[in-house]
Amino acid sequence: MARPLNLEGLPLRGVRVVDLSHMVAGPYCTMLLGFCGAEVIKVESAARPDGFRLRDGRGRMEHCRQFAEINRNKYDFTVNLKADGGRELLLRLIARSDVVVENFSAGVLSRLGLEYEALRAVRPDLIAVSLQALGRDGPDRDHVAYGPTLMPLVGASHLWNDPAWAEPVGSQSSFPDYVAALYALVALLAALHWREATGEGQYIEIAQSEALANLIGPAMLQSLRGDTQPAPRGNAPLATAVPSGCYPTRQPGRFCFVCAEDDHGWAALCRSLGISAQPNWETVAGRMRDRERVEAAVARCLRACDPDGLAERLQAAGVAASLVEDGSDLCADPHLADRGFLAEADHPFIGPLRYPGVPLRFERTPARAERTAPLLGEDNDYVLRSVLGLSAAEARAWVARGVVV
Amino acid sequence: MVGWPGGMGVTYRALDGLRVVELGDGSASMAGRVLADLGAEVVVVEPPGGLPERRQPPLVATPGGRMGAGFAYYNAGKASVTLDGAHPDGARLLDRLLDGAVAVLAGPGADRSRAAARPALVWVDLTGFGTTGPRADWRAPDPVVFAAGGLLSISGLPDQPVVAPGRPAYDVAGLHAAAALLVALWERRRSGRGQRVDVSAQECLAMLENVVTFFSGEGWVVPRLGSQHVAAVPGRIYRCADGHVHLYVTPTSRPHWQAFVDWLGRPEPLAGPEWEDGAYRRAHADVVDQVVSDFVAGMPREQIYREAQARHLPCAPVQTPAEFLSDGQSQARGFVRPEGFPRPGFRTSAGDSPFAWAPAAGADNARLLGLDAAELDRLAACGVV
Repeated sequence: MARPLNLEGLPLRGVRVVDLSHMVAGPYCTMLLGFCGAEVIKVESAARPDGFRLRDGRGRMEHCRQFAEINRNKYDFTVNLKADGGRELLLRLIARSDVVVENFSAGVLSRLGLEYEALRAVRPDLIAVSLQALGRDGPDRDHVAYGPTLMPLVGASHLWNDPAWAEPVGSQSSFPDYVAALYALVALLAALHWREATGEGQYIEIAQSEALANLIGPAMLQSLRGDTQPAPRGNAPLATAVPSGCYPTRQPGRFCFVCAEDDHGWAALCRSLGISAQPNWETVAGRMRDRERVEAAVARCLRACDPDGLAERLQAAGVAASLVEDGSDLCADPHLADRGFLAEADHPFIGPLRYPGVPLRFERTPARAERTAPLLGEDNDYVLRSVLGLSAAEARAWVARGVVV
Repeated sequence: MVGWPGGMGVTYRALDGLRVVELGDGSASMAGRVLADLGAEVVVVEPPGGLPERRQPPLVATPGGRMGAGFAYYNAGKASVTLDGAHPDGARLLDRLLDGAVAVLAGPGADRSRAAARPALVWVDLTGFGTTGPRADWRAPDPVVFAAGGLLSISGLPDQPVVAPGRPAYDVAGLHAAAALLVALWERRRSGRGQRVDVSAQECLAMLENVVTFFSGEGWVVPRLGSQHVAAVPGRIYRCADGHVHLYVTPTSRPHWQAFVDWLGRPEPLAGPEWEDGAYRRAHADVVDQVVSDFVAGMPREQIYREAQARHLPCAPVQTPAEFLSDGQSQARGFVRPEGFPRPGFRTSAGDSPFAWAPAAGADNARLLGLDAAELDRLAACGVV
């Protein structure tokens, strides 16, 4: 029995999205669309569920919290695309939809007979969005790549580093997936506007490598047109902010990021930490010349500080600072609490869980997280009966044929 | 199909006719940049003399002269006016500019006082911590927000977090803000009304990487492990003969592991069936890492990359930006424009994205502020423009 998903009053109400994507890149994009009221129909099957349902390694597909976090506000429709009639049924759904999002590996889409030409044949003004690791053409188009391997390829890992470290360190994150999702989102929203003006659909391709390269766009431009190649900057990304760093506090494992954005910030930092005024250090040029000693003085003071309330105290004095917040800190963050950003929501198998909220706060037509992540096939009945307009008997027949399963 | 190196012969301006005014210290510039890539007329309002970022090293060569790489990248395709909004004449000019606008991107440092009187506008506030709450006035350069948003906690070594390169907090927030602007414009088609949208960069970051639900669900704080993936072993950067490579085997895929172990020549320490289990490998990562390190230590990056990909194993060389820009895939896809500038993060069958170099400070004062040369000179002399 499906849970209701009420999209009334939401700004993208009326836009229907067929979401064939798995893992992170496509799903994060479509979840934001869903928060804004688009009717997102996530297509999976019992034979091929979204692999992210197994992200926590526990093997229970309706219990994975990571999947739940990025699949809210979506309907779920299970179609076995390899079964006889599966493709036909999906095309019927696409014919009634505005957008299709997919991130299949190279070759899968054409094996399924779902390339853009086939989709456009049933819906000429369709907006089709394809998220690919390295793009659909080029000598490396068939390469296998994930978020963690795209960062080294593009040059981000080389830069995601401290100059003092001998080995590139980078991060274990899937940052590229989220970046690709956001470029897809902006491009497809623009395509919706374009279609209103012209009646035309389009095929949008996001190469995750190229999306990520744009997140270090200035570094790319420096490489192409600068005097020197980009190099890692560690925790001093702002050239004129000295000191700048991620400093240990009195509590092991708790760090505070602090930087003196300008000479006023430096003076404020000295007052807060009780560092006695040094004439040589009053200007940024002076602090740069004596950088090591400046950093050491600040580090010494901060190592003696209790992390609780430290950033608040520094900020109140006019210093740019923040605790390095981890998941426990975000869940206890007083600012996020004041803004009501984290909210608990219930799920039939996961139970109550606190989720991050909707980061786009529309004043007059708020977006909202209406329903937690769907169960496999939860909305089959809704899609077959209400979206596709089938009778109860026709709907049952698709299930009996092993297509909707 | 999309964006062949030779170009499609057609320029796609999805947002043609949409004037977006960008206010503030320049931190909202990624939002304006992607809208400009889609054909919007994005006008950056700078102080007289231009934003400081124009002069921020590293400098790059552009046809208009040398310019900060950040400014040159984020403001490609935009128009520029210079005015002192605090001066009464400057304030009037800003009002004139806003009269012709449909949307505003108000970044950190922007004057938000005009929003209330202009309800037809889509007005997006993009700030480090949002416009409400105890931290709304916090000093929020990018790394401060990156720290507050949860991502710095999973970035770097266990005993030393390190911020991501570039301007990750405001870039991620900028993309969210551009999307929010387009959603509000969509709604405006139906209702005829604008609205304000509050985008907090901290909140955008807190959406990422399941940092929140790992803790709220199981009390688990995601550790900082450098390039080591939380679940996948192998799943990190290894040193090789001429540099480094990243090797990764999906923890839940037996075929992946089999292909990997075959490639290594079925080494004895990893021969048993227990190694097929990703969790077992994670628990005995030191054994796996030693075998893998020994295997790749004497091989060049390119060979490792080729051999792994031939077996459909996700592997990547650790490249510099220069190496990425000049590699075969980037070349074949024409990722670098003939002008010497990277293409946008999306491509479409609807046409090529427009391109223009970042403007000189105040390049569009005459056109957009409706001033003739004499008035411009007079106002410039008073420091108004």
